[in-house]
Amino acid sequence: MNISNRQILKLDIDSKEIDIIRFYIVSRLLRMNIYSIIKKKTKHGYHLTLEVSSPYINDDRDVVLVQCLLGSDYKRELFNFLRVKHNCRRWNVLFTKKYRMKNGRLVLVSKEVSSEGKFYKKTVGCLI
Amino acid sequence: MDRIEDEVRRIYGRMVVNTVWGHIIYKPVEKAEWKIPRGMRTLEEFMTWHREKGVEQERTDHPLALEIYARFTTRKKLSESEFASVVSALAMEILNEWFSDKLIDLMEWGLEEDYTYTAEPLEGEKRVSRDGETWTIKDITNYLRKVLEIEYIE
Repeated sequence: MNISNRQILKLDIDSKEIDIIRFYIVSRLLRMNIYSIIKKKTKHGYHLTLEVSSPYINDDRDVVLVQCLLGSDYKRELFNFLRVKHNCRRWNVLFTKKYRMKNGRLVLVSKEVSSEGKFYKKTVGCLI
Repeated sequence: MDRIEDEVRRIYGRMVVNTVWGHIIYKPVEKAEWKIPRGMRTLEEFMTWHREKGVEQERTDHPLALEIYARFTTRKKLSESEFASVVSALAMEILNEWFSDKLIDLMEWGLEEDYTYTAEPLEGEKRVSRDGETWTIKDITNYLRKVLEIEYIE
Protein backbone atom coordinates (compact mmCIF):
# COMPACT_ATOMS: atom_id res chain seq x y z
CA MET A 1 0.00 0.00 0.00
CA ASN A 2 1.30 3.42 -0.98
CA ILE A 3 1.15 5.70 2.05
CA SER A 4 2.72 8.82 0.56
CA ASN A 5 0.22 9.07 -2.31
CA ARG A 6 -1.65 12.35 -1.80
CA GLN A 7 -5.23 12.72 -2.99
CA ILE A 8 -7.59 15.67 -3.22
CA LEU A 9 -10.99 15.15 -1.63
CA LYS A 10 -13.80 17.57 -2.49
CA LEU A 11 -16.77 17.57 -0.15
CA ASP A 12 -20.13 19.26 -0.57
CA ILE A 13 -21.67 19.38 2.89
CA ASP A 14 -25.30 20.52 2.93
CA SER A 15 -25.46 21.37 6.60
CA LYS A 16 -24.50 24.40 8.65
CA GLU A 17 -22.65 22.22 11.16
CA ILE A 18 -19.72 20.01 10.24
CA ASP A 19 -19.72 16.64 11.97
CA ILE A 20 -16.28 16.69 13.60
CA ILE A 21 -16.76 13.26 15.23
CA ARG A 22 -17.48 11.75 11.83
CA PHE A 23 -14.28 13.31 10.46
CA TYR A 24 -12.34 12.04 13.44
CA ILE A 25 -13.58 8.44 13.17
CA VAL A 26 -13.15 8.16 9.39
CA SER A 27 -9.71 9.77 9.34
CA ARG A 28 -8.51 7.74 12.32
CA LEU A 29 -9.67 4.36 11.02
CA LEU A 30 -8.45 5.02 7.48
CA ARG A 31 -5.11 6.26 8.87
CA MET A 32 -5.59 9.50 6.98
CA ASN A 33 -3.08 12.35 7.09
CA ILE A 34 -4.61 15.71 6.31
CA TYR A 35 -2.16 18.20 4.75
CA SER A 36 -4.45 21.07 3.94
CA ILE A 37 -8.08 22.09 4.26
CA ILE A 38 -9.85 24.80 2.30
CA LYS A 39 -13.28 25.65 3.59
CA LYS A 40 -15.75 27.77 1.62
CA LYS A 41 -19.21 28.73 2.78
CA THR A 42 -22.15 28.08 0.44
CA LYS A 43 -25.91 28.74 0.49
CA HIS A 44 -26.75 25.41 2.19
CA GLY A 45 -23.53 24.55 3.99
CA TYR A 46 -19.86 24.19 3.09
CA HIS A 47 -17.49 23.16 0.36
CA LEU A 48 -14.34 21.53 1.70
CA THR A 49 -11.23 20.69 -0.27
CA LEU A 50 -8.83 18.40 1.59
CA GLU A 51 -5.40 17.21 0.61
CA VAL A 52 -4.93 13.84 2.25
CA SER A 53 -2.97 10.65 2.13
CA SER A 54 -4.15 7.28 3.35
CA PRO A 55 -3.09 3.70 2.63
CA TYR A 56 -6.76 2.97 1.92
CA ILE A 57 -7.27 5.62 -0.77
CA ASN A 58 -5.63 4.30 -3.92
CA ASP A 59 -7.91 5.04 -6.84
CA ASP A 60 -10.85 7.21 -7.89
CA ARG A 61 -13.47 4.82 -6.49
CA ASP A 62 -11.83 5.00 -3.07
CA VAL A 63 -11.93 8.80 -3.28
CA VAL A 64 -15.69 8.72 -4.02
CA LEU A 65 -16.31 6.31 -1.14
CA VAL A 66 -14.32 8.39 1.36
CA GLN A 67 -16.02 11.60 0.22
CA CYS A 68 -19.34 9.88 0.87
CA LEU A 69 -18.18 8.59 4.26
CA LEU A 70 -17.13 12.09 5.27
CA GLY A 71 -20.67 13.33 4.69
CA SER A 72 -20.59 14.77 1.19
CA ASP A 73 -23.96 15.09 -0.57
CA TYR A 74 -25.04 11.57 -1.58
CA LYS A 75 -26.49 12.63 -4.96
CA ARG A 76 -23.20 14.27 -5.92
CA GLU A 77 -21.26 11.18 -4.92
CA LEU A 78 -23.69 8.93 -6.80
CA PHE A 79 -23.03 10.87 -10.01
CA ASN A 80 -19.31 10.91 -9.27
CA PHE A 81 -19.41 7.14 -8.86
CA LEU A 82 -21.17 6.72 -12.23
CA ARG A 83 -18.63 9.04 -13.88
CA VAL A 84 -15.71 7.06 -12.43
CA LYS A 85 -17.34 3.76 -13.38
CA HIS A 86 -17.67 4.91 -16.98
CA ASN A 87 -14.06 6.14 -17.11
CA CYS A 88 -14.86 9.84 -17.47
CA ARG A 89 -11.80 12.12 -17.48
CA ARG A 90 -13.09 14.89 -15.20
CA TRP A 91 -15.44 13.70 -12.51
CA ASN A 92 -14.90 15.43 -9.15
CA VAL A 93 -16.93 18.60 -9.58
CA LEU A 94 -17.38 21.36 -7.00
CA PHE A 95 -18.82 24.57 -8.37
CA THR A 96 -17.48 27.96 -7.35
CA LYS A 97 -20.56 29.56 -8.90
CA LYS A 98 -23.82 27.96 -9.99
CA TYR A 99 -26.28 29.36 -12.54
CA ARG A 100 -29.70 28.43 -13.94
CA MET A 101 -31.35 29.63 -17.14
CA LYS A 102 -34.40 31.85 -16.70
CA ASN A 103 -36.07 33.33 -19.79
CA GLY A 104 -32.91 32.81 -21.79
CA ARG A 105 -30.70 34.52 -19.19
CA LEU A 106 -28.18 33.06 -16.82
CA VAL A 107 -29.17 33.71 -13.22
CA LEU A 108 -26.68 33.20 -10.36
CA VAL A 109 -28.16 30.62 -7.97
CA SER A 110 -25.34 30.22 -5.48
CA LYS A 111 -21.65 30.88 -4.99
CA GLU A 112 -18.82 30.00 -2.64
CA VAL A 113 -17.72 32.50 -0.02
CA SER A 114 -14.31 32.20 1.66
CA SER A 115 -14.45 31.81 5.39
CA GLU A 116 -11.99 31.81 8.24
CA GLY A 117 -9.97 28.75 9.25
CA LYS A 118 -11.84 27.85 12.45
CA PHE A 119 -12.71 24.39 11.19
CA TYR A 120 -9.08 23.75 10.16
CA LYS A 121 -7.90 24.47 13.70
CA LYS A 122 -10.60 22.29 15.24
CA THR A 123 -10.07 19.31 12.92
CA VAL A 124 -6.32 19.36 12.88
CA GLY A 125 -6.44 19.87 16.64
CA CYS A 126 -8.45 16.72 17.17
CA LEU A 127 -6.28 14.71 14.77
CA ILE A 128 -3.12 15.65 16.62
CA MET B 1 17.60 34.67 -5.29
CA ASP B 2 15.45 31.59 -5.73
CA ARG B 3 13.20 32.75 -2.93
CA ILE B 4 12.64 36.10 -4.65
CA GLU B 5 11.95 34.37 -7.96
CA ASP B 6 9.48 32.02 -6.29
CA GLU B 7 7.72 34.94 -4.65
CA VAL B 8 7.47 36.89 -7.93
CA ARG B 9 6.11 33.77 -9.63
CA ARG B 10 3.61 33.34 -6.81
CA ILE B 11 2.32 36.88 -7.15
CA TYR B 12 2.40 37.39 -10.92
CA GLY B 13 2.46 33.91 -12.40
CA ARG B 14 -0.72 32.53 -10.92
CA MET B 15 -3.26 31.48 -13.52
CA VAL B 16 -6.82 30.26 -13.26
CA VAL B 17 -7.95 26.90 -14.59
CA ASN B 18 -11.63 27.35 -15.39
CA THR B 19 -13.98 24.45 -15.89
CA VAL B 20 -17.40 25.47 -17.17
CA TRP B 21 -19.92 22.69 -16.64
CA GLY B 22 -23.43 22.20 -17.82
CA HIS B 23 -25.49 19.28 -16.66
CA ILE B 24 -29.08 18.26 -16.53
CA ILE B 25 -30.58 18.01 -13.08
CA TYR B 26 -32.78 15.08 -12.23
CA LYS B 27 -35.65 16.38 -10.16
CA PRO B 28 -38.19 13.83 -9.02
CA VAL B 29 -41.61 15.07 -7.92
CA GLU B 30 -41.63 15.99 -4.24
CA LYS B 31 -45.13 14.85 -3.41
CA ALA B 32 -46.80 11.92 -5.17
CA GLU B 33 -50.52 12.41 -5.66
CA TRP B 34 -51.16 8.83 -6.70
CA LYS B 35 -50.52 5.39 -5.29
CA ILE B 36 -47.79 3.24 -6.75
CA PRO B 37 -49.41 -0.06 -7.83
CA ARG B 38 -48.33 -3.25 -6.14
CA GLY B 39 -46.12 -5.86 -7.73
CA MET B 40 -43.54 -3.54 -9.19
CA ARG B 41 -40.13 -5.12 -8.95
CA THR B 42 -37.77 -3.31 -11.29
CA LEU B 43 -36.82 0.29 -11.90
CA GLU B 44 -37.76 -0.15 -15.57
CA GLU B 45 -41.33 -1.21 -14.61
CA PHE B 46 -41.57 1.84 -12.40
CA MET B 47 -40.21 4.20 -15.06
CA THR B 48 -42.62 2.84 -17.70
CA TRP B 49 -45.56 3.25 -15.33
CA HIS B 50 -44.34 6.71 -14.38
CA ARG B 51 -44.19 7.76 -18.04
CA GLU B 52 -47.64 6.29 -18.77
CA LYS B 53 -49.00 8.38 -15.90
CA GLY B 54 -47.80 11.40 -17.85
CA VAL B 55 -45.90 12.90 -14.97
CA GLU B 56 -42.83 13.65 -17.00
CA GLN B 57 -44.55 15.06 -20.10
CA GLU B 58 -42.16 17.96 -20.41
CA ARG B 59 -39.15 15.72 -20.06
CA THR B 60 -40.27 12.68 -22.11
CA ASP B 61 -37.40 12.47 -24.54
CA HIS B 62 -34.60 13.94 -22.55
CA PRO B 63 -31.65 11.78 -21.60
CA LEU B 64 -31.22 10.48 -18.07
CA ALA B 65 -27.79 12.08 -17.91
CA LEU B 66 -26.35 14.82 -20.06
CA GLU B 67 -23.30 16.84 -19.23
CA ILE B 68 -20.85 18.96 -21.08
CA TYR B 69 -17.74 20.82 -19.99
CA ALA B 70 -14.93 23.03 -21.22
CA ARG B 71 -11.66 23.35 -19.30
CA PHE B 72 -9.15 26.05 -20.09
CA THR B 73 -6.56 28.31 -18.45
CA THR B 74 -6.78 32.10 -18.29
CA ARG B 75 -4.62 34.82 -16.75
CA LYS B 76 -7.52 36.29 -14.79
CA LYS B 77 -10.84 35.09 -13.42
CA LEU B 78 -13.64 34.92 -15.97
CA SER B 79 -16.02 37.85 -16.11
CA GLU B 80 -19.79 37.26 -16.23
CA SER B 81 -19.92 38.01 -19.97
CA GLU B 82 -16.98 35.69 -20.73
CA PHE B 83 -18.67 32.93 -18.72
CA ALA B 84 -21.90 33.51 -20.64
CA SER B 85 -20.06 33.28 -23.97
CA VAL B 86 -18.58 29.89 -22.99
CA VAL B 87 -22.03 28.69 -21.87
CA SER B 88 -23.56 29.72 -25.19
CA ALA B 89 -20.81 27.85 -27.08
CA LEU B 90 -21.54 24.72 -25.03
CA ALA B 91 -25.31 25.16 -25.44
CA MET B 92 -24.82 25.44 -29.19
CA GLU B 93 -22.99 22.11 -29.20
CA ILE B 94 -25.98 20.52 -27.46
CA LEU B 95 -28.39 22.03 -29.99
CA ASN B 96 -26.15 20.88 -32.86
CA GLU B 97 -26.72 17.32 -31.69
CA TRP B 98 -30.49 17.72 -32.16
CA PHE B 99 -31.40 17.96 -28.52
CA SER B 100 -34.43 20.11 -27.70
CA ASP B 101 -33.80 23.74 -26.75
CA LYS B 102 -35.97 23.16 -23.65
CA LEU B 103 -33.10 21.07 -22.31
CA ILE B 104 -30.92 24.15 -21.99
CA ASP B 105 -33.43 25.65 -19.53
CA LEU B 106 -33.50 22.43 -17.51
CA MET B 107 -29.74 22.40 -17.15
CA GLU B 108 -27.59 23.74 -14.37
CA TRP B 109 -24.46 25.68 -15.36
CA GLY B 110 -21.49 25.95 -13.06
CA LEU B 111 -17.99 27.33 -12.92
CA GLU B 112 -15.14 25.59 -11.12
CA GLU B 113 -11.95 27.56 -10.51
CA ASP B 114 -8.55 26.10 -9.67
CA TYR B 115 -5.24 27.94 -9.48
CA THR B 116 -2.04 26.92 -11.22
CA TYR B 117 1.40 28.16 -12.29
CA THR B 118 1.54 26.06 -15.46
CA ALA B 119 -1.14 26.37 -18.12
CA GLU B 120 -3.30 23.35 -18.84
CA PRO B 121 -4.33 22.59 -22.42
CA LEU B 122 -7.89 23.24 -23.57
CA GLU B 123 -10.18 20.26 -23.26
CA GLY B 124 -13.87 19.49 -23.42
CA GLU B 125 -16.24 16.55 -23.38
CA LYS B 126 -19.90 15.80 -23.81
CA ARG B 127 -21.44 12.81 -22.07
CA VAL B 128 -24.91 11.45 -22.73
CA SER B 129 -26.74 8.48 -21.28
CA ARG B 130 -30.37 7.61 -21.91
CA ASP B 131 -30.55 4.63 -19.57
CA GLY B 132 -27.70 5.12 -17.10
CA GLU B 133 -26.06 1.96 -18.43
CA THR B 134 -24.48 3.01 -21.70
CA TRP B 135 -22.71 6.34 -21.93
CA THR B 136 -21.66 8.13 -25.08
CA ILE B 137 -18.61 10.30 -24.52
CA LYS B 138 -17.59 12.76 -27.23
CA ASP B 139 -14.43 14.87 -27.22
CA ILE B 140 -15.36 18.45 -28.15
CA THR B 141 -11.90 20.03 -27.80
CA ASN B 142 -11.58 20.82 -31.53
CA TYR B 143 -15.07 22.32 -31.61
CA LEU B 144 -14.19 24.54 -28.63
CA ARG B 145 -10.93 25.62 -30.29
CA LYS B 146 -12.98 26.99 -33.18
CA VAL B 147 -15.78 28.67 -31.30
CA LEU B 148 -14.39 29.96 -27.97
CA GLU B 149 -14.25 33.73 -28.06
CA ILE B 150 -12.15 34.26 -24.95
CA GLU B 151 -8.40 34.47 -24.55
CA TYR B 152 -7.04 31.27 -23.08
CA ILE B 153 -3.49 30.01 -22.59
CA GLU B 154 -2.26 26.58 -23.66
